[in-house]
Parts: sequence; C-alpha cells; structure tokens
Amino acid sequence: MADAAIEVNSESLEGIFVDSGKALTNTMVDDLKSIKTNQKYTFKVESQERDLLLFEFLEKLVIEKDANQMLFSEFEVKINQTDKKFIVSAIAYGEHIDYDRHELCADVKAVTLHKFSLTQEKENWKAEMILDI
Amino acid sequence: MNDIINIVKKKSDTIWEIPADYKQGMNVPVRIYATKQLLKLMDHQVIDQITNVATLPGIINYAYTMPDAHSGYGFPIGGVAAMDLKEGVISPGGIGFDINCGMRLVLTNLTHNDVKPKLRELVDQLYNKVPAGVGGAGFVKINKSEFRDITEMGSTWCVENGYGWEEDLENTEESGIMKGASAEKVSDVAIKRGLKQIGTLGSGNHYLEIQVVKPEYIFDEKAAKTVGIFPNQVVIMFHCGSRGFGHQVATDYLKKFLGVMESKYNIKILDRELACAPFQSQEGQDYFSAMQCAINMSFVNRQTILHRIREVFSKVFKTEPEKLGLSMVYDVAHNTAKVEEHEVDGKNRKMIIHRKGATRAFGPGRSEIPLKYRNIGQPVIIGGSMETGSYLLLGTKEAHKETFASTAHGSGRIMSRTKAKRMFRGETLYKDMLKKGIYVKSVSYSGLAEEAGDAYKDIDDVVDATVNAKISKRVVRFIPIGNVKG
Repeated sequence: MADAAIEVNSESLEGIFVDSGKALTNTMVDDLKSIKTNQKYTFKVESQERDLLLFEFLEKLVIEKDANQMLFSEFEVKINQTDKKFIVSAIAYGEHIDYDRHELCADVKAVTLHKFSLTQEKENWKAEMILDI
Repeated sequence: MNDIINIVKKKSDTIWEIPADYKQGMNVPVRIYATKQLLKLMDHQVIDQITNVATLPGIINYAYTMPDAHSGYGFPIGGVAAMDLKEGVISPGGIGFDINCGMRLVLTNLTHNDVKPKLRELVDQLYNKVPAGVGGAGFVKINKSEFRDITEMGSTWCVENGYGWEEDLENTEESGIMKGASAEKVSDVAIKRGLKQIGTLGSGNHYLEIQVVKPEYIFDEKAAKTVGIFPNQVVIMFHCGSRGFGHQVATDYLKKFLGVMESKYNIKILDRELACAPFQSQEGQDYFSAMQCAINMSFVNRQTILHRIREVFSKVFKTEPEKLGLSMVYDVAHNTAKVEEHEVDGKNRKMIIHRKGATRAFGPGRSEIPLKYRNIGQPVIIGGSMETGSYLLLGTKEAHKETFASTAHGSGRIMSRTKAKRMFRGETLYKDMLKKGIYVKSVSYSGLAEEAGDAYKDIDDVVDATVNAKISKRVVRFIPIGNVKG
C-alpha cells in the first residue's frame, strides 16, 4: 500500500501516454503549472507489447528524475507500429527540480506491473497503474 | 471484518495455516504469524499473494507471512519464502524493489536532558545534511567507476574513504559487503539512477529519528547492557534503502525474467510481479549478483548517512563523535535474498531465502552474528510509525525452526496513502506531535499525513505477536522525540 493508483482515460493512445506522464509528475509535484517547460528531453522506447510500451515510457521519466533531477509537465508523443513492435517517439518538456518553486509530494520510486493495464473499449482508451512511492 | 479467519486453520494463538489444497498449483501450505486481532486487520490480497508465492518452484516447507504483513507487488510485504538451491527460483518480487531497504540503530552517550535543549537544532541540521524527498542528491560526489566500486565493496569502501569506522563493519549484517556482487551485471541506467543518491533518505516511509530509552521500556536489562543501552539514553534510528539504483536493478531483471520464464524455463506464474528464474540459471545467477550490488549500495547509503549524523552531532555538541559514543548497535536488511543453511527434516540444507519486508533473526550461536552478540542473538530493529515508537528485538533459536530465522520488520500499513491523506491533515499532525514532544521536519505536510500513526498497525501488537510466536525476544522500546521524514 506504499503506492499511488492512477487511472487515465483518453480518446487516443497518444493521449493516454501524455496524461499518464502528467499524472506521474503530478504525484510528485502538487501543481503541474509550477514546472517551467524550457528544457526538453527527446527519447524513444520500443516494446513488443503495447502495455509494456507505456510502462517503459513512464519508466524513462522516473529515471530522468533520479539521474538528472528533471520533472516534466508537457509531452509530445508519436506512436508507430511495425510487424514486431510498438515504438514511441516522445519529447518531454520540463525543468530541474526547484525546491523553492515546486511543492513536492511523494517521490515515485517505480512504475510497477502490479495491476498494470492498458485497454481499449470502442473509442476510449484506459490505462490503470500503480506507482511505488 | 475480513473473511481470512474462515480460510485459515489455527495452529496456535499466533500461528495460522492455509493448506496446500487451497489453490491449484500450491507446492506447500502457507503459515501466517499473527494474533487473531492482526489477522482481522490483514487485507485479503495478502492471502491471494502468499498463496501465489506457495506455487513457486522449489519452495521449502511453507510460504510465510510475518505479523506486519500487508499486500505488496507479487509477494506480500512481510513475506518469506525459502527456495531449494537446485530446484528453486529467485524472484525480484520476493525481495522488493527497494533492495536492502533496512534499519540502522546508533547509540549516543547522551541523555534526554542533554539533547532536549538542542533538539530543534539537531533535527534541522540533520534535515539539511541528509537529503530527503523527490530527487534529493547526496553529498558523496563520485563518478561511474567509483560507483561500480561501491557496488562491489559495500561499506568497506566507506571505511577506506573516511565515511566510517572499522567497528561499523562488524556491526553491519554481512559485515557490510556481499562478496558475490559483480558490477558487470548491473545496467548503465541503474548506475545513472543511483549515482547522485548516495547519502539520501528517499521518501515514503523512510525516516531518520532521534529516540529516547524510557526506563520502563527496557524489557531485558542484561541484553540491553550488552548492546550498550541505558535508561534515558538518546539513540538514533534510520530507515532507507538502495534508492533508484535498487529499483532499477529489480525492474531490469523483472523484465528479463518475463522474457525467458515461460519460453525457456516453462515456469508459469499467477502474477507478472512474481517473475522469476531458476536460481542456478544464467539469468538467475546474474540477478543474484546484481542484487548483491544493490545490497552493497544500500549499506553504503546508510553508512554515509551515519557519517553525516556523526558530523551533525559533533558540530552541535562541539565534541568529536567518538566522545559522544556514536557507535552502531547494528544494521539489518529487510528486503533481500540470501543463501543460508537451515535444518530441514533433521538435515542441514542450503537454501535461497527471500525476505521481503522481513528481518533475518538469527538466534544465539550463529557464526554470522558479531561476537559480542553471539550469546544473546542477532539484534533485530523494528521501525514503528513516527508517532508511536520502535523496538530492538533479538533473534531466537526457535525462529530457525519456525520461519527459517525470520521475523517482522515494522508495523505495517493498514491504510492506503490516499486514505491517510484524506483522514489526517499534515499541519494538524505536525502540531499534535509537537505537543507530544516530537519535533518533525518533513519535505511536505501531505507526506507527513501519509505517515500518521493511525495509518499503521499497532507496533506493540506486531511485536507481541513475534514474541508470543517465539520468533523474537523483546529488549527495548524507543520513543521518538525528533524525526526527519522523507
């Protein structure tokens, strides 16, 4: 129970990625608007499974937070599919943690596979995840 | 009230069993160590998870839960599973993401009266010197190559680099170094995540606390004397782990295991978080080695935090740390897997024991215990919530027979963080604690609310259960007076 449960709904798969990224950051910072978007982090992740693609995408953000003290509040996401895998090309916009300006909450230590799901029902995509904090 | 009581079979007032025919695929029965009261507080997921653990290949005797058990990812927290070295598996989920999360207890020769006038200064300085919360970076500036050394050398690196005393090694589980660690088995990403995190607390339930020994809470005077505890003494206890580094090691191998588990080893599991590989397989051995790197990193994290504590006390009291008696009692890990030898059916047998949110509790006589504790048993440090108190216990001979020498690790949550935030206001809690004589410094009020005492099981109930089940012996209970919360 040392965790935060998140549910994200969107009309597009890209929207799921963008909103999941925002939800992850929002778990750590109370006000997303307090994060300036003057730095960008461009990255790509691949996976054979669509849900694991989301998992890997979010994991990248956790790694940047620990390795470079970066927080991101805006995202551009493109998803491509080949025969064998899914590929996400992303740009995350944000800045370094500022202990004066950012009201920090819980530190996300990991995205977990516990009850992790990404599903599509008609026009709606839905992701559920539990963050270890 | 839950329905667990209808599922379990009573073996004694503190031992309950779920037979192996409860769920298809269970290889062994489950043993739950808890009082009836704690059993009623247990969430049903603990039962789902521990019965899943019982299906893992090579599991020996039982899948166990300790009295502070609550649901985790895959394995419950407070879960113990011993696997056969040849037939068994190793599972990152059975160790926990925060590899070698653990507790360290440090003595002082100061009394409550000595510390009272300096308490705020001490807590404020500790807060400044030991970074906590989101993205906190530590004071130890190292490059990747030095970080790799740390993961292989453990606390010996600290002593060589002026961050520890020789005696600290003896008072750390495994003498602060896991010798099977090989940095080659760790990803570059994991190193990148951990590089700036040496000497940091983290967040969540991680904390650094100044505590007092009330005379009425010394339960075993002889043992207390042996470990250096006296009435009204001030001690320091802290709880943290391998930070992002350990998490990355666990995640890296969880993904690797998911890729080979079924296709290569024909192992089917009931939850992706139970991903595992045969212990003797290349993947299993690689993880075992990488996991030991994370154990070492965590020992170093706690050792460098101790160095900062010594600096702070020395500065505030204007005396060298040696003269303030800032010696360690012990450092215990509660998220590990280790190869140990235990008796099974009258014969000694080596096994890989997963303890997730469970503390090793060797009884008197074991050669792994420092000489000075060998006659009394291994110190076991149980962290309570920041409002209630913590314990020093000892391992027992009975624990070897009962739980492969394992016991509880803390009080165990009964309320989710979200619910705790709804129920308690951080600012009110801060003021209430101040009235009780506890000065707390936290990164955020919301984080404080999540850690309210009522969000946890009663630490006394948990400890009573371990004592009544004879898997631990009570030595002393500590009362918090100052707290730095991650």
